[in-house]
Amino acid sequence: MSRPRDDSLSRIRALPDGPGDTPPDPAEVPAGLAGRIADEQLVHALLARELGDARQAGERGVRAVLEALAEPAARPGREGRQPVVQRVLRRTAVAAAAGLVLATGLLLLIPSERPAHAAVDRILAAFDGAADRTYRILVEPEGAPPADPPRRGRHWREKQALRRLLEEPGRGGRAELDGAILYLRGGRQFVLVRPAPNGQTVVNGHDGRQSWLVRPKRPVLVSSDPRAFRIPMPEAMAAVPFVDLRQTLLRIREGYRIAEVSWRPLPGEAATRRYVLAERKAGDREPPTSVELWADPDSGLLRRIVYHGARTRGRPQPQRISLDLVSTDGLPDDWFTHSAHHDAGVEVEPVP
Amino acid sequence: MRLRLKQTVRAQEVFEILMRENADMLTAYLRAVVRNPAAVDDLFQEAMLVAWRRLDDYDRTRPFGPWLRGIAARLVLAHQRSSRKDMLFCSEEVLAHLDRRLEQISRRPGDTWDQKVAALRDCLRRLPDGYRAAVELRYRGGLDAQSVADRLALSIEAARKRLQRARGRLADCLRGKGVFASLEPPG
Repeated sequence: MSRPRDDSLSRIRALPDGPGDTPPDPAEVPAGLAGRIADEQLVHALLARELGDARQAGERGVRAVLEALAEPAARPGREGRQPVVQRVLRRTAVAAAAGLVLATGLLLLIPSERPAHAAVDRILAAFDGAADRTYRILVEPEGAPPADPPRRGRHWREKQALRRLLEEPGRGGRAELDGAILYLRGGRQFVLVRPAPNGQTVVNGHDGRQSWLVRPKRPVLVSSDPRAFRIPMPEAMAAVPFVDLRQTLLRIREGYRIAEVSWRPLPGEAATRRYVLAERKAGDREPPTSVELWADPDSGLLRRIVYHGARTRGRPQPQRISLDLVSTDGLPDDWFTHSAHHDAGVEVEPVP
Repeated sequence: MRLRLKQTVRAQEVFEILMRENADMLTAYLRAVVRNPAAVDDLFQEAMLVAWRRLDDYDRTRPFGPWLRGIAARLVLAHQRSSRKDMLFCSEEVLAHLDRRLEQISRRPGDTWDQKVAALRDCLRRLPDGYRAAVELRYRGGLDAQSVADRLALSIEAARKRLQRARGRLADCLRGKGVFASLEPPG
């Protein structure tokens, strides 16, 4: 582990770790260093699989290819474009056309709010019609972090950050929104899985008919009230229920000022997506202070939503809550019913 | 006609096995040079579909992995010409190096990709806490360098440097464990 490293390599930042970073130009890389840079990039790829979102990429790719092979035109030796190529070409064409239409629209309509509302409407329309989606939720403090206790420096903070990461789930004695997974079907059904102490999970959801809550070693609660078992948080924040993204989008459309509609890449990506920034209207004091949305330009599929200045229980500091789309894979038919999330025989208790 | 269909179905079954055996390797190869995960997915599918169409050209006495990487390398270089923003540092030299590296890994003991690269987990455990925290935040948390910096109360430049050094240490550790063994010059 302590092998001396090549100084010339340390001066070259090969891997972009942020949206503004760019890889080095091959002409600027001294001869003989390409191999070591390639090794660092391979480590990056291995880490993405070991720790990140790439673990399922291979299997996902195999399934997509098998589906493509089911098409008659995909038989070996046949000529003709394959589905993935068609999809790429179609997406490029649609994106280009959408960009042209949008640019024309913006030129004609600015400063009217019409195109801004149209952008949110498009995301809403896609939301209602979308198939299964899975989002990962991250909660981070926003603004300056609170002061550390005396004589606790960076080393202590790093150890704490690492401990929290490695011990998830299970900190704080209650289910956490940070690290939770949100599953959605259509505009109404959802399942929210939150990590709870001792590696267990608290799961709540709505199957289109009733709300339900599954907790470790306790009866399952069901209610006909669609607002039952929402995420516990202060009253003001409950007005923007995170699990109900559709309501959130409606509220953004009606209650927020659309400050920006443009094209921006998601962090870590190069391709631009439809971007909407909505800010709290003057005089309105309810959090969050602003909301950012990224959506696919051709489908309107919501890729990321970020709430700024949000308030959650047990955290005095304003929080940034982000929901990132991690999968559009189809979920089991019964996934949004409570019985899919607990053993048979667990007591089910209706509540008003 | 029935015989031809049967032959095609049989070929597809064999191809599915080859795909599954090489899927993680191909993903690692692409992810090592392509920054945009969506582009990685597209290139993966294109490479597999080109391999399927050209299956008659494949010399079955030789391993499938290098042949598949050869197809993928041509697609990657073509993609680089049209979408440079999607890419990490990439050249023919980098691709050749990765090809030999992945061939080394494929010859390691183990039936699955996870078993062949199991040493990475031990290397991760050996990272100093500060480096490990940065790597966990970057990859498990999916955060960019600015968010890593915020979480660890570092400057963004320090966070970037820490991530780079952590990956460098992991590469050194993998060299020490023989996963990244020394390579003969290409001949």
